[in-house]
Amino acid sequence: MTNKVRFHRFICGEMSQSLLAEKVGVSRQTIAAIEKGNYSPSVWLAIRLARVFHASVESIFILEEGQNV
Amino acid sequence: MSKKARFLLYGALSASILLLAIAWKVEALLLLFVLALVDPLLRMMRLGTAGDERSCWIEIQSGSFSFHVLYAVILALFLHKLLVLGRNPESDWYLLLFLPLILRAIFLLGKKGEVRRLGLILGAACGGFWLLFSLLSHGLQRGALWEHGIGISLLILTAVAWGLPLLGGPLLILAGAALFVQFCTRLPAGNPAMQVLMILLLPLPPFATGIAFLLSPRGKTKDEFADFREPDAGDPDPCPDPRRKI
Repeated sequence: MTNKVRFHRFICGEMSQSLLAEKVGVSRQTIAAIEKGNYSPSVWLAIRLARVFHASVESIFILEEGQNV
Repeated sequence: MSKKARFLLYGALSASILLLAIAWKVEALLLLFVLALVDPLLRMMRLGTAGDERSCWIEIQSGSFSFHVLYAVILALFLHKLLVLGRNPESDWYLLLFLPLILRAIFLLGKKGEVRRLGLILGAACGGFWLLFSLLSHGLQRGALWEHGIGISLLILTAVAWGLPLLGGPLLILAGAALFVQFCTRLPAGNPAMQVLMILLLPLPPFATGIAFLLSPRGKTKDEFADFREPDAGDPDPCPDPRRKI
């Protein structure tokens, strides 16, 4: 699964990882791990991220065809 | 639980252990290792700090890794004692070997919602082991037939409970209670590991089997969408891809 969290942070005026983490209620390390693709967030966190970015979950997290989670 | 409350709890526990060490003996300081269990216990009781989900995930992974490493170490030490040193390990070792496996099996099956299957596995395992153990120990001696009968009865009760949980479940609980009275009430004092092991291996499995069968869901679950289904709806792909060209 790839994600565009970094891209959306950039779109939102280069929002810092710390600020995003604060808005969604997780640690900055978790945001960093998601961006690097080291951690797949829960549905709860994915929706929270989508709300902060005013985007759909699928536009942030992309599961390519035939890819296992 | 707030960070302040958690800090106070750790402080109070540490201070108590320190006072105990001063008042009693310095070895009591080893009780400080108990502090390692505080956070997992708080989380189990849903009193832990609302940490972020990745931290929880890492903690779960570390717990699983630690469990497997610890179990491998216990098994290696047990086998070393039994096979290399040629000594029969004390009952504490058997407790260390059995308790984690039993708890893990119960937890996994219970969490997966397969309570009925848990009952069947527990009942069949405990009846089967009992029968096997008594057959290997006494063979077909007439005096030991009652012991074989216990294993066979547990297997029969499990089969009954599989079909009729409301009948078999209470009977298995009664069987567990009877085994407790027969084998665990007159154990010699001074060996708590042996007592726990006996309870764990003899009355607890049928008791837990009975509870599992009583808790298992009965009958078919209600189909919430039954009214919306067409009688002959035989679409092989219930969720067709809207982008697919027909």
